[in-house]
Amino acid sequence: MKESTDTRYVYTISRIRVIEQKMLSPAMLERMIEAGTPEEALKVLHDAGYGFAGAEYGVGDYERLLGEEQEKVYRLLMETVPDISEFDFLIIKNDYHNLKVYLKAEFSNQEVSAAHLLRPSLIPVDRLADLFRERDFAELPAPMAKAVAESMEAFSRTQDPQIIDLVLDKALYSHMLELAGRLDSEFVYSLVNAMVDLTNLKMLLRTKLIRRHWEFLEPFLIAGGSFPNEFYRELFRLEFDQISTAYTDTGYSRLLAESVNSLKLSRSLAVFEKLCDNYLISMLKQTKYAIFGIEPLVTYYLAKEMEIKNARIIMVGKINGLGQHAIRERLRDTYA
Amino acid sequence: MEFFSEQLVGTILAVIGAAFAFIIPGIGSSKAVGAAGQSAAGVLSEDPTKFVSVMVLEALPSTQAIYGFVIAFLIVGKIVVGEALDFGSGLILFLAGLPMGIVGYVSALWQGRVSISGINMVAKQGGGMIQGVILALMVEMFAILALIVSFQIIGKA
Repeated sequence: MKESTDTRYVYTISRIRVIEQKMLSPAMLERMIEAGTPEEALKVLHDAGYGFAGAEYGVGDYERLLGEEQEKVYRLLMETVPDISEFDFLIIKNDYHNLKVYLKAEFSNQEVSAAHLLRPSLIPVDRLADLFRERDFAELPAPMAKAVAESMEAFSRTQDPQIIDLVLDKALYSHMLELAGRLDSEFVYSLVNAMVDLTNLKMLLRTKLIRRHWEFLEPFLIAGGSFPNEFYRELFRLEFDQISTAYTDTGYSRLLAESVNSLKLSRSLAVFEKLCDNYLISMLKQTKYAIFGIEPLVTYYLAKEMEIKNARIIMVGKINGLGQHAIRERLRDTYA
Repeated sequence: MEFFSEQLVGTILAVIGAAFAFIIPGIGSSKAVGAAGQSAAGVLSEDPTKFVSVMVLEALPSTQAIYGFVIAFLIVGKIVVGEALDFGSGLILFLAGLPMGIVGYVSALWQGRVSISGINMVAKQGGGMIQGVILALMVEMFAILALIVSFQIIGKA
């Protein structure tokens, strides 16, 4: 991979090298898992510096704590990089999520609960509420506005709430590819490309699990990944055991081979999704020692996102009294 | 074209050599120390106790500009006011500026990279300053060799 010589980010990278020492290590995650109560697990997060300084968080606030931790990462970027819009491709995921929440609430005539909205986002969550009240989506970036219109149209046609997810996911990843393509970073592009491939694969596997037809899946496959639609059409005909062989020569073959059993036996995507995350984390580790370029910043944001996902898995497990073994099984690899 | 009279060509060549010997490594050192300085500030804004370590590492790529300054100074010293340098001596002094200029520039940039890596290493661990400095000094050797070569060539003028 071409090494970047862009020195605009050296300040932020060095700051990140100090801060990432405080990321949750496997030993700290283990301490959370072995904690007797959710309070003790939360204390590990406190000690790791989670949340805004001076704020108090109880066990009930763990979602807020985790959300604010992600916001802290984005604020660091915002304060230190010359052009924050270069990082839009990372946060639009939250925008599309928030759009889904609003659209679903509207179709089911429910109120939107603030707890379901994600931050940081391109469109501030308060602004989004105004947009939906005024039904004026011109202010949204063009791909988002188009996706909203499309999902409204598709829902009125099918009355199936699931269609909102599919339409918006497709729009999200196309949008991400477009934004990542502007960055002139091979690493970032290959990362988003892998996300697209894995999302397509996940949709394909899910469609097979719920026994729907290829015709149902085809319109929602995301274009622009490593494989054309014909490849997925061939793949769709195969049994679960055979799918991994179709990916020989690519990095996805192993993760598929490892998730076949759970797909076949428990008909669940949980193991596959975990291995997808691990695959992305192993990609992130490529930039661990980079000194120039945008890559370490992108890595830090995403590594933090994965870490927060792990923290959430443990907190949810602890609060619901899940066994230690069951929690460990769900944990993703750590970047730290 | 009185200015370019034949007598002056030697002197002009020597001045160009001196300017080259300083300007090019000067640019390299400025870039390298500038980037390393930003990197150092990044570490300090999170951990001010590491000031000494990161300051030493930041300063290392500045030596190329100092060596360039020395060579430029020696070349200019060969020019005597009111006396024209002959063409041969002027050409030798011009060429004397090249090793320092070129090697100084390249080694400054690369030493800057090693310095930044060293600063990031210090950011991760408590110690590490000595190792970082030694690694960066490996690149220093080439600038020193260039200094000696340029110095030797000046002696032949």
